[in-house]
Amino acid sequence: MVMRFGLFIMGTESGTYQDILEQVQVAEELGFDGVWLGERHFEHGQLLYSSPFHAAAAMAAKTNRIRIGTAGRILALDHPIHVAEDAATLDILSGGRLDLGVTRAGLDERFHQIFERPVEDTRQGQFEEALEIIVKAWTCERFAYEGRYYQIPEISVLPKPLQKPRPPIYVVAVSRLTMAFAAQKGYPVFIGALQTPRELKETLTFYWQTFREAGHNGVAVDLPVNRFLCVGESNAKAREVIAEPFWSFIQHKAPDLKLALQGKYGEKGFRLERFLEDFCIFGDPDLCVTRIKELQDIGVTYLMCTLNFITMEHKLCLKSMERFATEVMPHFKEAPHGELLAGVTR
Amino acid sequence: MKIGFYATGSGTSTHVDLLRQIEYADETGFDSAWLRERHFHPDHQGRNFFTSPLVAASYIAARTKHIRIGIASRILPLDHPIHIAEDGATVDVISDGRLDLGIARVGENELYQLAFGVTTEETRGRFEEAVEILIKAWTLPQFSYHGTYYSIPDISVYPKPVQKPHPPIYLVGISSGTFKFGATRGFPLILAGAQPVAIVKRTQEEYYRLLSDHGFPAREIELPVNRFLYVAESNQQAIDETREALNTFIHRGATAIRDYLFRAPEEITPEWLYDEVCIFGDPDTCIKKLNELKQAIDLRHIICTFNYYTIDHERCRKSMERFVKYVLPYVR
Repeated sequence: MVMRFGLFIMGTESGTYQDILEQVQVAEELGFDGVWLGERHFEHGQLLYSSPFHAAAAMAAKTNRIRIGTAGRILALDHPIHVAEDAATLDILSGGRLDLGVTRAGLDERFHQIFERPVEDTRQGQFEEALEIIVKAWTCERFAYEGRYYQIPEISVLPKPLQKPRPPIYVVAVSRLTMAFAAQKGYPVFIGALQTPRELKETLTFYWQTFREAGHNGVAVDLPVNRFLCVGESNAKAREVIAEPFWSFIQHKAPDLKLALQGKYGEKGFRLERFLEDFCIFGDPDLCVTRIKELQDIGVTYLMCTLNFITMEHKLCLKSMERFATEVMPHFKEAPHGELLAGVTR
Repeated sequence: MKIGFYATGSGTSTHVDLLRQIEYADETGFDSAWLRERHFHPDHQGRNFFTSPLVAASYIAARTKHIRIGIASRILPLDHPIHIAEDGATVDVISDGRLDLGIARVGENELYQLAFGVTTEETRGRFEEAVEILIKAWTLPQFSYHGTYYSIPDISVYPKPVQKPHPPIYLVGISSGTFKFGATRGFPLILAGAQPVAIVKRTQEEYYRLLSDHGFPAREIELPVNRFLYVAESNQQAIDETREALNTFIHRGATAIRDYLFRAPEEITPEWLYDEVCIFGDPDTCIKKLNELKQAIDLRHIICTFNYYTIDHERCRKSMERFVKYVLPYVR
């Protein structure tokens, strides 16, 4: 079974946009299927990405094949017509390589306060309305909209995206409610980096069950599952390299993850050994392959790799990507040996 | 004289055609390429970058080396000023300091406001507050703002632009209220509409006077002027290839353009446009007309419009190429 690999591009704190663009070019050369960008504002956006579409446009200009996705645009902060227009433009500029990931709310409530879209609205229908408007703007020649949060007179939004009927839409789903909404609509969801294989299995079961109950058929879409990864010569070497950037990331750069981890593991369990058991894949190539195969066995088809932490040096990011692509990815790119043999004997 | 390229679509240009033209402009020494903002506009069937000029600018920044990338202009009240600050700074960083940001208060009709959920009455206030917020976001490590329309607690906005103190801000507008506001800030005015020479001259003089009144060294501020160009092999060819297209272009309900011409619609004939507005003809005629124009007005920065959405792209492209080969070297 083939596994697809995306790369979550976080940027490096000391790096420049040129470094980021290099990482994306290298990701393309190394055979990653896609790159994904988050959206952050204010001090969180010190390097990336207060303007993910604009960063993505530059990435599109420097690459030819790799898909470029947002993970995800915070729909509440921008008018959905702007999102539809900018995304369609980006889809055209990239030659149809856009994946639009969207999220209900930002990681910091101040985002909502400053852009004057209260976070409560996002839980009461604003997100769903915005998504509906984006799809209409992309696919209808003309439309009008009368919602609780948006009222739009009859307009025709151009350009239309290059991908038909429209670019794929992915939804960041933290709560079961959002996951159910996405599954009912048939939108694939992102699955966060902190889920243990067992939780992951439950999540996938829930998603696909809701998906089928809503009348959707088959398994047409990948659900990108985020994992923290680092490949080294040995398990010890890999952990030596990644420990500091990883901790510094959790402690200082990812308040949402830190909170979630503290809630989940408590004071006592808040340590790397536990994380390694549950969700971090830091080790030699064998360990990485084994752990990813386990994920594959529970139904994961798309791995969104977090190999580059904002707290890592650019050169180290490149190295980490390269190791992963040359030592781990090939095990998943072709049909495994067993299947081939089975084909021959039959 | 600085030479700009107005990157709007022609009758048949694709997005790729437009991008190629911009890269060509970069390679052949144009100083600037300008993208405008427009919404819900069916004329080019969306074959342009009107709705998202800063997204396109970012792509162009990554594909070009020298050319400055101008936006003429972003309509401030339609978007949150923090977004414009972030998007603009991102483009400035990616282009390594090549962004020129033109700003405007309104687009060409009220539908813009209706669709994006602001009222036309608010646009003046929103525009003026947005300018303040934009500059603060670009230049201050931290700031707060409390206005009638926007209220922002203490925040830091990233990224910061590469250009210091901030990317140049240009003003695009036509109302005296906008002129007055721009002059208090010392913003250069882009004379975006293709106006008769006499009107350009009058507007420039009025704006320079306003700038001086507010203590700015008016003559040091360049006001880019947009002109329609068409360089053909002969004067007759220029007329043959553009007459009908020009007529349709102006009279196709493009009232926004006619507003800039200050003339009754029935008096706007192709002949009048050739005489008063357009620089059309063979290379010698174009050089002569450009030199005359330089005498008549302050023409330190010209933005050339080669593309018209009523003409076949191949013709526009050839006209631009002739300009580069036979006109550009003699007018700089």
